[in-house]
Amino acid sequence: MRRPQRSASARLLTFVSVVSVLGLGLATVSFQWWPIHADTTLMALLALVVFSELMAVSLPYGGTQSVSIPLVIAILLLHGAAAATVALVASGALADLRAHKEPIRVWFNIGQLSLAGVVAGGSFSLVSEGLGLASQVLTRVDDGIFPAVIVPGVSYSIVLFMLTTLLVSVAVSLSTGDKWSLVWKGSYSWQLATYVALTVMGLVLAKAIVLIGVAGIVLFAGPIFVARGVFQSYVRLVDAYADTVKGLVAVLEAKDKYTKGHSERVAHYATMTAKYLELDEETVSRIELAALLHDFGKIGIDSKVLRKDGRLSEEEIDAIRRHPTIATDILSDIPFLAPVLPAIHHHHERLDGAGYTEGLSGRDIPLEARILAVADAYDAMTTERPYRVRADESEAIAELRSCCGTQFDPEVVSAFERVLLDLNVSGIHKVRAGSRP
Amino acid sequence: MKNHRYSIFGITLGLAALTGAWALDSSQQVEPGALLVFLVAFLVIEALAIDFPRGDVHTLSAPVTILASVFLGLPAAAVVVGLGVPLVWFATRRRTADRCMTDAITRGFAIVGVSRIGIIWVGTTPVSSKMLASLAVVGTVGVVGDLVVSQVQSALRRREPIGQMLLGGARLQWTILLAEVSAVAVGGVLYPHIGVWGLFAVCLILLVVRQAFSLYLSVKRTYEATIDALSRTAEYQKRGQRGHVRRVTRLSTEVGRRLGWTGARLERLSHVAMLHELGELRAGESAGEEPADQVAASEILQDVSFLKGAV
Repeated sequence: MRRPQRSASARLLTFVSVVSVLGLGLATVSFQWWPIHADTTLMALLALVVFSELMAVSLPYGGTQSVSIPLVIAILLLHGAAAATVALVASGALADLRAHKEPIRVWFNIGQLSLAGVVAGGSFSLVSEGLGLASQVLTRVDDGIFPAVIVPGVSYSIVLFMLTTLLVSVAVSLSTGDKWSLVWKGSYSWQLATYVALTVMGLVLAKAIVLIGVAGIVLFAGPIFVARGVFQSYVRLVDAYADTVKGLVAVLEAKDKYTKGHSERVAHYATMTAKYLELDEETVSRIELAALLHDFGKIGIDSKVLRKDGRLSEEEIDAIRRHPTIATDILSDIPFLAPVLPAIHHHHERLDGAGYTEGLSGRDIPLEARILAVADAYDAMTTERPYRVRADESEAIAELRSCCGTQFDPEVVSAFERVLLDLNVSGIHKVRAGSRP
Repeated sequence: MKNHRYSIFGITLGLAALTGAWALDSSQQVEPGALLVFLVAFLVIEALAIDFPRGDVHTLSAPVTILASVFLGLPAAAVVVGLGVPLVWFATRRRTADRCMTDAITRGFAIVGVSRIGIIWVGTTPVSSKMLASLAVVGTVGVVGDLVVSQVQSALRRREPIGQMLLGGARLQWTILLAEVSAVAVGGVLYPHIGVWGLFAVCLILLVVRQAFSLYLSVKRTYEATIDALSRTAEYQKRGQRGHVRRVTRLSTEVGRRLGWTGARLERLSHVAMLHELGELRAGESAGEEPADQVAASEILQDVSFLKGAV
């Protein structure tokens, strides 16, 4: 999952400085366009922004999810776009500091949030003037501006969302080398709908504040913090689930010594290959899980057969070939693992249809299973097994190549070779030495 | 499933609350447009009910019902519930028609009636300074009424002790109830001013809460299924033992229940029972070394933080 941290390149530095200078410059000027009148509600709202950042939920794959957007929108309506930008920057900087990010990233985030806040504020002013909702009416949030105010409100949040996520995606892609569109799709695209819904909530919150003051904030914040608490326990459980899968693997390894470390190594190879093929994040994590559990079905096979040194009889081979079926049988009731099962079920299929368990051929075999097959075969060849000697890396690769088109998918094999090459070059090929569950 | 105690309780309570409120209440004029909006909001929220483990279902529609009875009056609220509950439960959850009607009358009408009585008791339609306080009272009365009614109902249906069911429900759902009361207050403040959009905010708040809860519960269900899978794994080894784990689990949880254990403790006991054979997997390797069992089982499971208490 993690990539080697390269030193910030010149292009990244240029990008960061352009964005931050532009952002902070515009933000400073924008105080003149949208003057701020500080009062108790503004202070209360800003305090709540700070609080909600401190309470932000940490997501499973790093990063946090806070719920400060409705607050920012309420500030936008009641105190103007400059105040909203202040809230945005404050919340962003706080989140970064809390996550102990490097100074350059904190700096970049301050810059990109100021830039996005001012541009989004501009779109809000333009759209609301176009609709004839004068800014004075906005600060009082008259009854009559509903539902028309939803149009500028949502335009603000969409501009804000697109700008911040795109700027961050570009910065991430400059520092890691991933394609920015992939970064964006993987990390942000699914959040837009939530963003818009929270925006409407913010507009209504502004009205509630006008009607009953700070009590309005409390009424809205209560349920949201309830939801936050529950969501946090959800995230914690998801995190812990990785351990549970390790537990399942440990059950298998307790039985079959030769698989010790095998599952984790296959998982490593398979995820690297999947990433090389530019599959989306969801597929990659599905492949990782499938790889960890691909031999789980061996649990249902007699240990004597698994550890037999000599030739296996017809019957014994049949028994071993049942392991993908056994795995899907045992794991089928676990909803979380349902999307993973096809990959496990088909990881011994061959491209020419001569494999098992269903005898699928070509593209009928799920891509996940095709990747798994290559990684599995490579690791089996390069480790000691009772029935044959260990092959070295080049022999194993030659063998994979010679089985291209009949047993393995040529595209996957060539991606796998590239991955092995990369691993050797960057010198982090420590999988074999240091992987114990 | 026929259970007369459950039906009789539901229908009597619902109708009593409704007639009680009707007797105290003078009828109001209802706008058809507003009625439609409330009905739609009710349908959406009711359809997205939270499924709790063991078949409990908690719907978050109580605030919509309460607001309907505050702003539209008793007949309109009764229409919303009387149409909404059967529609949702018949269409999306395939309940039988008589169960739908019983549920509509019990849960819905009880909330309508109770909150209506609450309004009359607190004062007439909320105004200005007293508004928030009265909304909070009406919301609390209605929402707590909803909890009590639904818990008593499921206790009667499953023939379990009512008191325990109530306590369990309150412990599991009090945060949801709090959010619901808040939503009632938000809606009560905003509806007179911005109408539909106020109701929209109420629905959004309820949906955010609902989403968080159902995510959490789905992961929890995954855990249960995983433990089940692990326990069946152990059984794979010994053909003759099919069903052994399940029997041991049933017996030990029953013993636990009779000892007066509840909630998390009972749950943990059942997990332990389900996993007690896991060590056999390793024992199978060097047949006959039974004492190694417990050690192996706890070694295998030590990575699973969810099960810390069980090891």
